[in-house]
This record gives sequence, structure tokens and C-alpha cells, in this order.
Amino acid sequence: MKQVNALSIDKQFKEKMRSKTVFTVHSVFERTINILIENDLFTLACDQIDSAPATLVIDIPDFNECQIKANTQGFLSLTTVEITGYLAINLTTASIWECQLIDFSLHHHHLGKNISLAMQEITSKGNAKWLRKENSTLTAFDKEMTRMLTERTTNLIESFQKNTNDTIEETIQCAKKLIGLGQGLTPSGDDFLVGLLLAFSTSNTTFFNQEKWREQIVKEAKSHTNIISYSAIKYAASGQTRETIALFIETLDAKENDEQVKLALANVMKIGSSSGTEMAWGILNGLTLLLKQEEQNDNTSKN
Amino acid sequence: MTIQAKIKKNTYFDSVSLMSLSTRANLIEDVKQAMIGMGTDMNKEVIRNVGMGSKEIEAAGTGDLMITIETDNPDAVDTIFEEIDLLFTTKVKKPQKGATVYKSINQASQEIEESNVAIISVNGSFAAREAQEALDKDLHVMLFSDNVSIEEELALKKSAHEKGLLMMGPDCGTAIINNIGLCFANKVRKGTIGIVAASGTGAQELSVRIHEFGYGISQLIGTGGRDLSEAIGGIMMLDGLAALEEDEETKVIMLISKPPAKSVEIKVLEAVKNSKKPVVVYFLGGDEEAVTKAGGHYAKRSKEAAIKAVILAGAKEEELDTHPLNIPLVEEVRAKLSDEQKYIRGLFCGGTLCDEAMYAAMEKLDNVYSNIQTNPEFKLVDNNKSQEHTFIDFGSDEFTSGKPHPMIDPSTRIDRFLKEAADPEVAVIAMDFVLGYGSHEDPVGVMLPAIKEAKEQAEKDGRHLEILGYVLGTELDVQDIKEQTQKLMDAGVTISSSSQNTGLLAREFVLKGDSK
Repeated sequence: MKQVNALSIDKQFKEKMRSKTVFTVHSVFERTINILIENDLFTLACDQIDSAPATLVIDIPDFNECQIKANTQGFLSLTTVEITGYLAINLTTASIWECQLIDFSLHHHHLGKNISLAMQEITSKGNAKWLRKENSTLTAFDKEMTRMLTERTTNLIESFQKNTNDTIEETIQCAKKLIGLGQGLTPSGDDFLVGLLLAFSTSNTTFFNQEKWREQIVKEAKSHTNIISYSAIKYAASGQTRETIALFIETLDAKENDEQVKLALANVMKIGSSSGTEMAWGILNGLTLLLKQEEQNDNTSKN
Repeated sequence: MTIQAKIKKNTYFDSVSLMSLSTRANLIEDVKQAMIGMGTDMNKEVIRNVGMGSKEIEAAGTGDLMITIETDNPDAVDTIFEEIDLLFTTKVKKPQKGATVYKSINQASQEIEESNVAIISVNGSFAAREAQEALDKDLHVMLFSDNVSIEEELALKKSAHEKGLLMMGPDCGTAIINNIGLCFANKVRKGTIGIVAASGTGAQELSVRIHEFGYGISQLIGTGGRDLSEAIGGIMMLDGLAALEEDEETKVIMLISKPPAKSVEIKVLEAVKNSKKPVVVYFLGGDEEAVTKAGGHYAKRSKEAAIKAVILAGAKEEELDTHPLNIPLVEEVRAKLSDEQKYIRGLFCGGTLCDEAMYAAMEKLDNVYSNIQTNPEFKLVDNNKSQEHTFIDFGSDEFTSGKPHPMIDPSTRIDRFLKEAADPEVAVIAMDFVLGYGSHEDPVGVMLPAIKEAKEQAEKDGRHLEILGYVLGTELDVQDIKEQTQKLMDAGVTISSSSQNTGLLAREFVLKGDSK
């Protein structure tokens, strides 16, 4: 059995370590393994993956050598995570990590500029076919997917722009039509919603009933997408995301620096096939909505 | 038309694999359309909307993987699914027979005690950590990764310098150590000319020209493109120069860089002054007087630098076939171009090849724009939109983020090429095709359909489209240079014999009545 040290552990994961608990391997990828602990999904990640909610990063380059299969049993204790017969992870070496998204000041002039720069980068260089300005090689399926994603994300944004708590039902209905839409393991529509949820978490905005909206999206996601994507939505709803994305959000709020914004975004766009790009798109659209709302509030108070 | 679907229960593949599987499934013979994706209600709706719905699809759950195909050949259905199954099982590249995979630098250095070089190509966020670990193990480092901060680069180079080790990179794409090409390098003969290069394709060009002139390379040490910046101060170029000074096999030294910081240029030339071996200095936009004053041999262009080096190594100038510029060709091309066709569009995979062509154009043309222009006035406003004479380095960070380098996958410039080819104001499109280790196995083949399409369209529009191609490589490279060149010629592409001639020819084609 291979023995390795843990590098970092998410606080929530650490809290699961209180007692000896049995788990099942849910899914195995080259660089991550998902495990189910009491119906919640947690991730074991190799050393090149950044820290993330419910994730334990371990000192191993990939899992190819371990030959672990889905449905294998394991157990965890205060000091060890063990996939029986395959892998034992020493937890005493791990530093504790916790996602902390910054609170935005929506009055910063450079925020709008940084958002606009990042949006341009995504439409010209992003990995999501449906967001690219130029696309010459789409199949009929791709075209339909592009049409539906474009139409439904636009509808959702427009429903938010109508503002007020009265339209919250409409925004929920629009968001529901995005859940599970897209080809990847975490569908594009889900990734966009993750971004939107994260953006809303950066500000204590009151322009709509955030709590209700978040609850409904998480509830819908549970039955309309796969558990891996659902987990990402669930954590985003509580303002939690992986390190690379948190850094990108922080960079947007930092002073105007085109190169830093581009670099932070480029790192996000490396996530998955197109997931990083789509999450970033959701974040940027969410922040744009908040900015517009803030402007409206300012104008109202001046009048 | 036959539509068939298969469901894989509770099957999860990461998004990159899923997209790749879907793309490859669409390329299987007899497949009109294929889709592989998770079984969510929304994805089922998309499938229904494109007329590919079925009972199997409707029965899929959110954790199931749906595979649906459309074909005009019902007899091929089983074979198609067999081939798709094969794609699933061959998704992970297994190490080649005989190769040993180590999990860390630590493990590799322990198990191969005689190892003394680590080549590192990991995500930029982790590259400095890995490089420092290698230096700590007393290994020379070639760091291919980019997106390493300048502070990290400085720390690594200082650390290497103190230990007497080479720190090649970050963003170092080319080296030849003891006749072994590392990363992007061409197969050239061993010889007496040593190169220190802060420029990857520039170094490839010099080594290829030297090989063509019948000489060879002792060592080619890369430094990474930022080494001659103010912040780094040329640490690696100075250490590389010192290493070649000590190397008995090296009789002539060459230094190459994109435009260096003035203070660093002075520092390097001071070292040239103290060198006991002849040094050819080819710094793009460099100062001839300063080089000559330091006792160095100044070269303005790459071929000129190679010629100087081989002559210093013993060649007789009159015996060299230097491929001078083909003036009758220039006249012939000019005659074919209309008055409206004024501009050069250079679409390059190699950064220094782009730079050299751009510098040649700038000598006679005022309006030369690029994504790598150092003069902000002529930096492209939008890298996706050309302005007058435009030179694009597709290997630049803004084009490679999240994508392979265009020397690995040259298809990234196809869309741009077709766009430029359709522009009636474009006179000439210049392109490089880089062969050698690490490069695409058939870079010309990738572009050929687009070249043919563009030529045909231009002919329909009643204009001549001049496409100038340069194949960088030697007859020893794994790709067949003769075949690559022939394919271009058959498609009506004009062949340039060197990087230097590429820039000069492109420039001369668009100049009227000023041939030289």
C-alpha cells in the first residue's frame, strides 16, 4: 500500500476527521479522487491541484500508479485517510486551508475596467466554444448547445436586471434552465451559475433575496446535475471556491493592473476543459450586475 | 439516417477527456455527428433539439454518460461504437516501452545517481518550486515552463550562479547539450561553435544555418527570454559565456538575444571584451559600434551571424552557398500585385523568426505593427485585428494561455491566416514551419488545406495572393524537410531559404521601385 503525506486540507474536510468514518470511492480521475462520506463528496487531489473546498491535497503527482477503482471502501481517522489496500495518507503533515473570499468595494473605479478587460480576454481566448467571438468548427450539436447557453444565460441576466424581490421567481426559473446544460463533467450552465453565486458572495447586496435564490439553486442542482457539479454549486452558494478562482476575484478588486488580471484569469481558464472560462464568465457577469445595481442605488440616493 | 445511443451507467470522466473523446468520436469514419456528455435533462433537451433523441437517452440519469451517434451507414453502427469504446480505453497515454516514470525530482535524482540535468515543464505556479528543488540536488535546470514571476527567476538564477549550475529558463524552449536536443531543437551535427541564446527559435535558426554551411554546434545553452532584462541582468548569458569559454570543444562563441536592456548589453559586451575566443554578437536592434569596440563580431541578421561564425571557425567565404536574395523573384511578385495590395501579414510560430522579419520590415516601412512590438505606438490595439503591416508571434503568452505552443499545434493560426488571406489589401502572408524535436510531425500538412482554400479564393476574386513560407529544419530532423518544402511549393507557396531572407523578401515584395 502506497503511503504519502498530505500537503493541505480544507477546514471542512478536517472537521470530518473527528471520528473513525467509513467512506466509498465515488470516482477516480488522473489527478483527483472523489470520496463519499455520509453522502457528501470530498476530494483527494494530487500536488499540482490547488487547495479547494472539501479537498485534501496530497504529495503525489497523479493517481495512475495507485490503480484505485470506484466503489472501493476506505476509512478516515484523526490522522489518516486510507483507501483500503491502495493508499494511506498521513494527515499530520497537512496545513489547514480555508477559502476566504474578499468583500468587494463596488465603488472602485478600476473594478469595472478589470471586468471589461477579463471579458474581452474570455471572448477572444477562452476555452468555451459558446463564448468565443470566432468559431469555425461547430457541429450541429455544438451550435444548438451554443444557442441554448447564450439564450439562457442572457435571459437569466436580464431577469436580474429587472431587479426587485418580486422577480426572484423568474430568476430561479431562468437559472433552473441552465442546471445540467453542457457537455463537460461539470456542465457549462452549472459552471456559469457557480461563478454567479461566487460573485454574489463578494458583496452584501440587498438588491434581491440572495438567501432564497441560493437555497433554490442548490436544491434544484441536487436533482438536475451530477453530484460532482452539485458539490461545486453547493460550495459556491456558501462563498467557497478553489484557490485559483479566489485569487482571480481578489485580483479584479486589486488596483488596475492588466497583466495581473490576465495572468490570474489565464490560470482560471486552465481549469477543466472549459469550466474555468465559464466560471470566470459567471463571476464577471455577476459582478457587472452588482455594479449596475450599486450605480442605480447611488443615483436614487442622490435624487 | 441512423441514430443510436448507448449509456454508461455512473461513469465519470474529467471534462478535458470528455471533450477530447467527443471530438475524436466525430472524426470516426461514417460518423455524421457524435455527442458524449452527462445525462442531465438539459443535455437531453439539446440532443432532442438536434433530432438525435432516443429512448436510451431519455432513460439516462444525471450520473450516467450518454453516447449518441448519427450515421448514414446503418451497417457501421457496431463498428462505430467499438471504436468509441476504444477511445475510452486508450485515453491515458501509457509510458513508452523502456521509459521509467518517476514521481518527483527527488526520486529521479536518487535513482539515477549520474543525472545532472533536470528538464522541467509544469504549470508556472509550481515551476519555481520544482526548479529550486532540482538546483538543491545540484542539477542543472532547463525550465520550459512560463508564467514564472521575475522575482522567482532572479532568485533561481542567483541560486544557480552561486552553485556553478546552469539555470536555463524559465520559458526556455531550446538547448543542445552534448549533441542532444532538449525541448524544441533541430538535429544538427556536432562541431566547434557554441551558442548562448536568450531566444529559442533564434537559436534554432543559427544552429540550422551553421549546419547548412557544413559546420556544427558544440553546445547550445538557452537562457530564457527575460535573461537580458534589467531585472535579471543577464546572469545566465554571462554564466553561459563563461561555460563556453571553459569548454575545450568550443572554438567560436555566438550570443543571440531579442533587444536587450542597455545596461545589460554593456555588461555582456564587457564579458565579450575579456573573452579569449572570438564572439559573434547577434542582438536584434543591437549597437554595432559597441560590439565592435568590445572586440566582438557584430551581426545584424541571423544568416549574417551564422556566416561570420563559420568563417571564424575556418570556412572560406567564397565556398559558402549563402543564398543571396533572389531579385528577379522580387520583381516577378511585385508585377503580380495590384495597387490595392499593400501590406505584409506575418504569422509566425517562432518568436525570434517573427522579430527578425519585423525588424527587416521596419528598416524600410513606417507602419509596422505587432503583438511583440517594443514601441507602444506600434503595438496592436487588438491582437486579433491586423493594422497595416502586421507581424504576429503566435507563441506569445496571450495566444498560448491554456493552449499548446503553435510549434506543437500550428492549427492555432489557421483562422487568422484565412482572415488575412481574404483581406484585399494584403499583398503577402509570411509564415514559418518549424521542424525538429518537440515540433508538430507535419506542420505544413496542418496548414495546407487552408493555404489551398485561400489561394483558390484569391484567384476567384481576381487577385494574386503571395504566400511566403520558410521551413526551419535540417535533413536530419525527424520530419522530412524535402517533403515539407515540396508540399508548400505544390500549393503555390514561395519558399524562403532562411529567416533572414523571409523578412527581406516579404519587405521587398511590398515595396515599389526600390529593389535592392
